[in-house]
This record gives sequence, C-alpha cells and structure tokens, in this order.
Amino acid sequence: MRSLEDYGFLASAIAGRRVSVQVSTKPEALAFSDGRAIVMPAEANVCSQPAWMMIVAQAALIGAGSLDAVVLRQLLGRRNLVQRYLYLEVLRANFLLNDRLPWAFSQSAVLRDVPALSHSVAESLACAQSMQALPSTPDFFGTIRPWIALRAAVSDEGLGALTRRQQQGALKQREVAEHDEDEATEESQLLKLFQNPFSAGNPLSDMLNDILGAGISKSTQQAKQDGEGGAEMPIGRIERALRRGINALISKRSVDLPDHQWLAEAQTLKYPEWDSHAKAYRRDWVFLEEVDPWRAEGAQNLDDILTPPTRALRRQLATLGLDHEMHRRQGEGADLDIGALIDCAIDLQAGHSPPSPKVYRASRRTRRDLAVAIVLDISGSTGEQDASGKSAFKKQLQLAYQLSRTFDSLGDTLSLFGFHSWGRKLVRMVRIKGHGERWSGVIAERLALLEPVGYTRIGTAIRHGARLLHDEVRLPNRLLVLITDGIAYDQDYEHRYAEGDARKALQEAQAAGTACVCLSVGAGTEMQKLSEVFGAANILAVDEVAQITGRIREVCRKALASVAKRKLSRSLAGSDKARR
Amino acid sequence: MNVSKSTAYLSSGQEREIFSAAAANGLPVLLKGPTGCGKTRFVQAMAQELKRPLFTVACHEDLTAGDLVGRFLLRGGETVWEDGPLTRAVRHGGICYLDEIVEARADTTVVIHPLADHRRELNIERLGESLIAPKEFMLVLSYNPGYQSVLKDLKPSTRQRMVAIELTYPNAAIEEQILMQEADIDNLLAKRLVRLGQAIRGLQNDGLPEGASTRTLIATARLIQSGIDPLLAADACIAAPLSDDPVAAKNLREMARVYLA
Ligand SMILES: Nc1ncnc2c1ncn2[C@@H]1O[C@H](COP(=O)(O)OP(=O)(O)OP(=O)(O)O)[C@@H](O)[C@H]1O
Ligand SMILES: [Mg+2]
Repeated sequence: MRSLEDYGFLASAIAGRRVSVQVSTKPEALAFSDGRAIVMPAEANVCSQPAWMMIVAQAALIGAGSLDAVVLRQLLGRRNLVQRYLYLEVLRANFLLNDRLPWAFSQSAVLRDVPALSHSVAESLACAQSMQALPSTPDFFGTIRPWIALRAAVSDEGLGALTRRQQQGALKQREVAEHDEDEATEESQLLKLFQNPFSAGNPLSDMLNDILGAGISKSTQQAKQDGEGGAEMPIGRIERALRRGINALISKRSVDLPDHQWLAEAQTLKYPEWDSHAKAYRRDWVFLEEVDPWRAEGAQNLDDILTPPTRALRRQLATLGLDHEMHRRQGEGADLDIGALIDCAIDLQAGHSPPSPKVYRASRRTRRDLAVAIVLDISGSTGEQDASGKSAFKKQLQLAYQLSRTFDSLGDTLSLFGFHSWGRKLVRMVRIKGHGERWSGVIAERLALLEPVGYTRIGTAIRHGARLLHDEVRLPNRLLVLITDGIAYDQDYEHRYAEGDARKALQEAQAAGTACVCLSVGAGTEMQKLSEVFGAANILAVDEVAQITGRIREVCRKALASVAKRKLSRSLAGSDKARR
Repeated sequence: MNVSKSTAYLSSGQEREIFSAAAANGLPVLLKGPTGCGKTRFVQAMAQELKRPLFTVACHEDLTAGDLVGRFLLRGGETVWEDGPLTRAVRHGGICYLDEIVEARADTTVVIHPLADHRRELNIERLGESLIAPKEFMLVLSYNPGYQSVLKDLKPSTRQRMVAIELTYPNAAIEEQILMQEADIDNLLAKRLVRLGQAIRGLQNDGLPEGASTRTLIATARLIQSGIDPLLAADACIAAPLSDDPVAAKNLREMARVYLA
C-alpha cells in the first residue's frame, strides 16, 4: 500500500529541507503548503501522476523560497494575484532547481521549454501585479494559502518574541495566565485576539502585530472582505505557538528567580559561558542546580511511551566502546609473540609435531569500559505537538528511556538527566538516574514527572553532563548523548551566541576525551543549526524513535573513535617529545 | 576488455592538473570526497597517465602498521619477511593509495609521517632498515569529509605538505556523460537517473546518512541495461543499500518511481 507519508523524502529532497506530506482534513481541491508540510487534497490518489506532480510543485516552491513572508503579506486575500504569482514562481523554481526535479515534471506540457519570466520573488510579485497576460495556472501547481504560510512563520518567531517581551517587562504573567485558565475557551480567546488586531494593549495581539508588521491589520480586514482570510483563520499552529510561549512563560510551578546573594549561599554549581561576541569566557556566569523531578498534577501515564527497547537496539549498542587489547598466542597478527615462537622452535627441534602455529600477537577488540550520560531537553519548545498529536517531548522521553535501559542492561555506567532553564541564574538539571544508581521502576516514575517547560541553555547542559562523566566516573570511554529539539534558546542566549557557546562546550568535552552525539526525534527542521554545531556526523535526526535503531551505532562509534584517536595521537606526540 | 575505458575518468575541474603537478614535485596528495564520487577511479586514471604502479590499501579500524609495512610470516619453521603494500610502493617507485585513511588508527598512521614530509623515508623497524623513497614514489590519501576531518589527526608538518584535492559528485551534465560511458545507456535514461541521484543527495543529513553516489547510479543503470525493470534496479542499487529503515526505503522507492517515470 502506498500512502502519502511515503512522499516525505520526495518533498524534502526538492524543498532542500525536511518537509512532510499530509492529507487535509477539510474538503480541499488543491495542494498547498505552510513551508513545513505539504497538505494534499483528501481525495488525491497518491499513485496517480497528478498527485505527485502537486507534491513536486509545492516542494519546488519551498525550495525556491517562494513562501517568503514579505511577499505573502501582499498576497493576503487576493486570489487572482496569488494564482499569477504561483504560476511565475513555479516557472522560476523549475528553472532554478532543474537538476533535481523529476524529468517528467520539467517535461510536462506546461513547463517544457518555457523559460522563467522572473529571477526573484520580488520580480515575480511585481510581474504578477502588472498587466502582463499570463497563461492560466494549471491545477497541478496546487495553490498558495498566504494565511497558513504566514501562520507557520509566526510560530517560528512566537517563542522568541514572547521571551523578548517578557524581558522588557512588557508581558504581565497574570494577564497571560488568564487565558490559560480554561482550556476550553483558550482557542476562542486566542482567535478573538488574533481577529481583532486593534485590541491594543493586549500583549498577545501586540506581539502578533510586532511579528507580522503593522500591515497585518489592513490585510486582515481586506481578507475578511474578500471572504477568504476568514475561512483560514488560524487556530492550529498559531495557538500551539502561543501556548508553547505561554507554557514557557508561566511554568506551572512558580519560579522566583533567585538573586545573586542567595545563589552564592545555596548549593548551586557555577559554570562559565563562552561569549562569542567578546571572544572570551564569562566566568561563573551560569548557576545550575540539580533537582529531583516534581509535577504538580502527579505522574502522568506513560505506559504507551516507556516501552521496552528492542533487541535490535541492544545488538546495535552491544559492540560500542570495545577497546583494543594485545592478545598473545594468536593464529595471526601484526607481531610475532617471542615466547610462543621459542616454544614453537623447541617443539620443532624436539620433534614434537605439529608445533602450534599460534605465534603472533594481535590487537583485538575486547574490553568494554563505557560510561554514558544522557541529557534530555525538557524545555517548553519540545512540548509542541505535531500533526499526529504527538509531541517531540514524548518521543524524546521514549528515546531516552529505551537508550538508558539498553545501555544499563549492557552493563555500562549510565546517568540520565533532564534539563531546562529560566535564564542564566536558574538552570535545572533534573535527576532521573545517577551513575551509581541501580535500575529500577523508580526511573520510569521519575520520567513520568517531567514536564516540558522553560528554555534551553544547551552549553551548560553539555558542560554539566561532561563534567559528571569526567569527574565522577573516570572510565576511559565516555559518551555524552544530548537529546533535544534543536532550539537553543534562553534569556540572553540565542542565535550565534547560543551556537558559539554550545560549540565551545562541545570542544571542551571532546578535549577532555568525552565523545558527544546529539539526537533528535520529531523535531522537524529545527536541527539545522545544531547540526552545524555538532558536525553532521555526530547528529542523528529522525521522525520516529524506531528509526534510530539502524543508525545509532555508527554515530556513537564514530564519535567515540574520534576522541579515542585524538587521545592516542596526543599520547604519541607526548612520547615523541619525551624521546627527544 | 578495453583497458583505457575501464579507467577513463571525466574531470569536473582542475584535479588532473593539480595531481600531475604534485606528482612532479614529490608532494603527497589528500583526496577529499564523499563515497563513490570517483576518488579511486581518479587515482587509477592518474597512475595510468603517469605510468606508475598503483598500490591500494583500504584502511579500516583494525589495520595495523604491519599491514602497511610488512611482517614476518611463518613458513615451514622459518620466518620469512613479506613487504606490505606501502613498502612495495616505496621499493617500486609507485603510488601508494591509502583509501579512507580516517578509518585507520593513529598508531598505524604514524608510519606514513616520515614518508609524507620532507624526509620521504620509510622506517622498517622490524628489519632495522630504512628506505629512502625514489622520486616516483607518491603517497595519496583519501577520506570522506562527511564523516570527520582527518586534518586534526595529522601532524602540522605533514598536513602542510599535503596537496588537497576536493572531489564532489559531478554536476548533472558530467554525471550524465559518466553514466552513458560506464553503463552504455541512452541520454534520456541517464538524465532521469542523474536527477534522481541529485535529488537524493539533497536529503543528506536530513533523513539519510549519505546520498546516492555516482557508483550507485552506475550500478542501477547497468542492471537496467541488463533487462531488469528500472524500479526494481533502483530498489536494489539505491533504496536498499542506502537505508535499512523500512520507512526510508519506501520513501526512496517512491522517489525512484517519480523520477524514472
Ligand atoms: N569522474 C568520473 N569519471 C568516470 N567514472 C567515474 C567518475 N566518477 C565516478 N565514476 C564511476 O563511479 C564508480 C565509483 O567511483 P570510485 O570507486 O572511484 O569512488 P570512490 O570515491 O573511490 O568511492 P569510495 O570512497 O567509496 O571508495 C567508478 O567505478 C566509476 O565507474
Ligand atoms: Mg574508493
């Protein structure tokens, strides 16, 4: 059976980033996209050429950058303009991405030998607005729904914007909390806020105006008059983005940020942070505390999440961290084993036959001394749910559970921590399993007490995990596994600063001989930045936990081998010097 | 068999010129490039062009210095020394090609350091012998930068004497030529396969650990040429080898269906 999910690669390959293909729940005639997912008409027959042609066209629009927020704002509610712009953009995309588009697509009657009429989104928009006659847009191009694409852009920005406003003191927690009180009315409240951009002073609508620009109010009205925008009013993603922000803002347990003096007295650990702008460390900058998990509502039921790991995973991880050791009296090997050789010579002389041919020394992989620390991102952003209603948070829990269970059962020293933060003064490592602790049902219970709130100060989490491995365990092979959705974000901790600090923290860990890998499940496109920080080889991003099985060994092995090699060359360089 | 055809290499840039110049100056070469992009083929072609014998070693984790330099073997109660490929290349003034050098352990790669720098010397500790490489001897290392950087594992003095040549998958037009030449297929099929390959490469880091190499495209083309159904061929040579994950394999299969339509 073929299903639309099997076209995710097709869409992603053409779009140049991860894009999923979904079926619309509403009666829809044409495919459209919000920039992350391509939504197909429910009745589209996936095997048919028209269906995949739509996917290709939509993916090509994403790949060519056609869903540009600035342009989309101009297109709001103007169906005719949308269709003209769409036509021009598919032509441009066909030209731009030609080498990676299916031959059958570029050779279709509409596109074959048709040159691009514009070279940029701006040119396409200008041309679409002009009087120039254009052929009608074929159905297999799908359509563009400006509102929906804009909404996705807002969701990307939402968290950041909310935080900035919080920092400026522009958001009052109380006000936001009101909307969170009643789940049932939350959607309608937000909808109302969004529909009424003139409710000035309301933090949420202000934020949306900030993000979408002042033009939004005019366009909204226009869209309403045209009768189109209204039908596409945002509930899904925008609401999720806002809730994500709200969640992060008002942690369910109230957090009073401790002041300096209190921090100094309390049992907090201090960590430095790398300031990539100043190119210097900020010493004792971050305050970290280890806490036990706690959840106001008690444990949630995770029976379907905390499922036992598969044997395949166990098999995969079983051969990690095996060390090379010299073995004597081997059948073959790089060196002769003098003792065995002498025995052999004696046997020959004495006429004992046949002498043992095992006269070599060989290095074989046998010893396993592996310590693993898993640090799990439990910030608010992971709580966002995907189309299937599953959050990255739940998937990450499942992955963390299965990995830790497997490592532990293989006899490795294992610890598991969750982490989140509220600014540099409060980074929390939530203890789930310590290195010395035996495995028991308590660990699953602790996982069930975690909640996705707060932000992500990734560098500190790496430093703490690496320090635990290095100072408390002292085994030769150390592996730090970071599980995250890729959004490194905290108060005064974003973009290049956050990336620079994470990169530095990684370098510190690796220099100290700890291998680091980064895993993500169901995080979508957010991993690109971290992939640059970690290096593509040390990162594994999948949609479902099961997909990790075939690939995790290689990622971990490479990371371990690379630090082992570094250690060895350093000791060789050292002995080289000593000899001289 | 037509010898010149089986080692024919189509350049994408100035790689031939750089390689020849490095060879003329006794400098070692570092080939960077993803798997199946033509590194081995390139070295073979250059060895033929320069008329030097080629000694290839596929490096792996368990490779020891003995595997490179040589070792004593036991033959009927006597120990006999046997040269390893590196020693043979030095003795014969050939090209020693260490494929996937990153895979070898650091205590193995130390033996190449004196060969790669200005000394051009091979120490065979077990024989108590030291060979000075003739000027025809050339060291070529290759590695796949997608996995990790080899540079930090090399001593600066070695590293700075390396001439690095970066190979990537050829652009669509050249790759079409390679497919037509290597698998004897027509231009239309070549176009379709190349587009499929180029698209799959876009998935790297994002669903797939590596892209479909030129090698996999050639294999697919050859099977099709032998009368295998195109989708079946793509499945066998591209989808199945690239991923064990059933979801990924299915996705790749659907891509093949679209691109080969
Ligand atoms: N530029 C080219 N000209 C001719 N043939 C090529 C070229 N590039 C690749 N090929 C073909 O692709 C095949 C694979 O190339 P090759 O074995 O040289 O790859 P590689 O880079 O050495 O891969 P690996 O890293 O896996 O060893 C060759 O057998 C050859 O048929
Ligand atoms: Mg090769």
